[in-house]
Amino acid sequence: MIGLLLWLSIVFYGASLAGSIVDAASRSQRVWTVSVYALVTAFSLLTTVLILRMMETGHAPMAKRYETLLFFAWSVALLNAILLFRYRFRTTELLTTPVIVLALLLAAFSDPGVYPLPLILETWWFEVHVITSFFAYALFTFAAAAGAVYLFKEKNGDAAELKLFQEITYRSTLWGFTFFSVSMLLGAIWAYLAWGLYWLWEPKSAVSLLLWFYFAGVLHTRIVKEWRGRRASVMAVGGFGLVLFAYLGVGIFLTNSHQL
Amino acid sequence: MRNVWRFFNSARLTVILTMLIAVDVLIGSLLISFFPETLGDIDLEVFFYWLFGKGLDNLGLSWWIFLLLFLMGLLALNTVACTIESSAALFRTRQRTTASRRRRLLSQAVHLGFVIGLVGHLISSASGFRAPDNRLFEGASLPFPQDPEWSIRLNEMDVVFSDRGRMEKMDAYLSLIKGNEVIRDKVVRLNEPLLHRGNAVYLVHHGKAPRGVRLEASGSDVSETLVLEFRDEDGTNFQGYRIVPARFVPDFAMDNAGKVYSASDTFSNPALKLEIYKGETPVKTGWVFLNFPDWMSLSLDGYELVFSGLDYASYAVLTVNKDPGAVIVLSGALIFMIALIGMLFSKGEAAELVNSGKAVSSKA
Repeated sequence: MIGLLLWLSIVFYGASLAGSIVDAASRSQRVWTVSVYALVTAFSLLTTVLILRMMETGHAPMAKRYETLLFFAWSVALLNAILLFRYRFRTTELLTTPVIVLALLLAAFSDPGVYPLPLILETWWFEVHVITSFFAYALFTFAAAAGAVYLFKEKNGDAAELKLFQEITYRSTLWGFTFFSVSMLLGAIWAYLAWGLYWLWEPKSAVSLLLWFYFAGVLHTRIVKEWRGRRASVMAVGGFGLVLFAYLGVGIFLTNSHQL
Repeated sequence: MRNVWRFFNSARLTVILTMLIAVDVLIGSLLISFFPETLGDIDLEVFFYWLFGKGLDNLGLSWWIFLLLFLMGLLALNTVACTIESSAALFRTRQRTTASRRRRLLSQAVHLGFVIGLVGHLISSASGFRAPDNRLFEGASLPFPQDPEWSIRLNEMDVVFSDRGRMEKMDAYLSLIKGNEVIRDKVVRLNEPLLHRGNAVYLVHHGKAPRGVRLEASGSDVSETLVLEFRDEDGTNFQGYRIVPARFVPDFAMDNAGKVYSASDTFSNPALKLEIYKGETPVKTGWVFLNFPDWMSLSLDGYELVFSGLDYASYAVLTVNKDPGAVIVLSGALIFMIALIGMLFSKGEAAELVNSGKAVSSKA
């Protein structure tokens, strides 16, 4: 059942993406409306998948890669939905929706087995630590998308539009940085309660520190004239690569004791 | 001097330092992953003890940590210089409180929290102690490493497994003791340590292991089971004799010179050397063997002492840490977080992801 809903969600996100592309080219009201319906349907399906998964496992969907991929996709999708319904803003969807589709495809081919949670993870410190870090990842993804749009439009876009995307990159980085800082603080408190150390010298923690300093640097580009605009956008796009490395790369390529 | 100040009072320097730190930590994360035999035990002791011991001995793999310290030092100076300069500028302009002024004040509070966190981390890195792998049997006590007047006693372990073998509960019932007085009892479990005067006691895992041996002591008029703990130097009394466990080997073996040793760590051939006293006078010494109870017993004044079994008991493996900097790090982090969140909402519209006045949509 969950698998079927997941595939349906992928199909609807694919349809929504196709609609966004056609809409960007044709500016057709009908295509716009259809793609919004597809987006809403896909998000509803994905939310249902997450709820069913939580009912199945009895915990928040963040114990295994299958679950975290679903949650990462949902976080980005939630942000897309907020942008659509609060700001009627869809330009970055062309870049964020493929991220959602890829994450869901990876989840669809991951092991969906239900495994009991180790005792050490049975604490809300862990759940909130992971939830806030994935919200941060979603916001950094959005910042990267806005940065990429800025770079794309840099040559031909008008100044107001470029300023808008520059502002979006900054604001989503600030929001992402805030969520990420909360996540690191909660993770530090949890580590202190679990192991007596608020900081562990292991790859995942080190890469998290890397991300934190990197995005602190991105935020400071705003007050350095020559780093605004192009450089800040390039850094935001590069930050997305680091997010992927922190989330998936460390687990796949490095030996680490971090659970996820 | 002015040039030095100008150098440190620069947001450009902040961007460059954060990027350099990111690159350095990226290299470090790869080195930690690929050389765990050298860099995998940093957390087992206080950081600077490791860094200026094993770290210095392995500079080829730890250079990035020294570089990180240097860069962090520069960033701390940079942050302090920028904060002083911005704060001074804020207080020089005697305008009434505006959203932008509040926002700038909050950004200085963010910097202050960061610096306080760094100071706390410096203290953590240089003081306190880490004492992992303390095996404590039920009923036994463990003094705090730097506070021997205080100790903890493991009263009981309560471990529950599901039908599928998954551990569902691991509780250690501890008593905090000062001198001989129990000050308080506390159930310690994963994620719930015992915290006391800066000491923190963590339950890491548990197990069952032999704590001593059982001896069947029998004669024509008496038959009794004696339990001897390995570490009990006073021994136990039996029919006017004092029986003391002198040496225990789990896998008894003897070399060509007749020297006893243990062939392995497994309990394949447990043997116990007994010393028997009458008052303070030694009267007999000899070995008893679990695997050969009938022909390797010890005779004593008409009584037979037979090694009948191992006395198993539950134990907890505890870590005891003291980290005087942790509270300062937490305080800095809280100031940082509160100020950062305050910054987001200090100017209503700033909390918006998209500047609503200039929003674009596909249909705008």
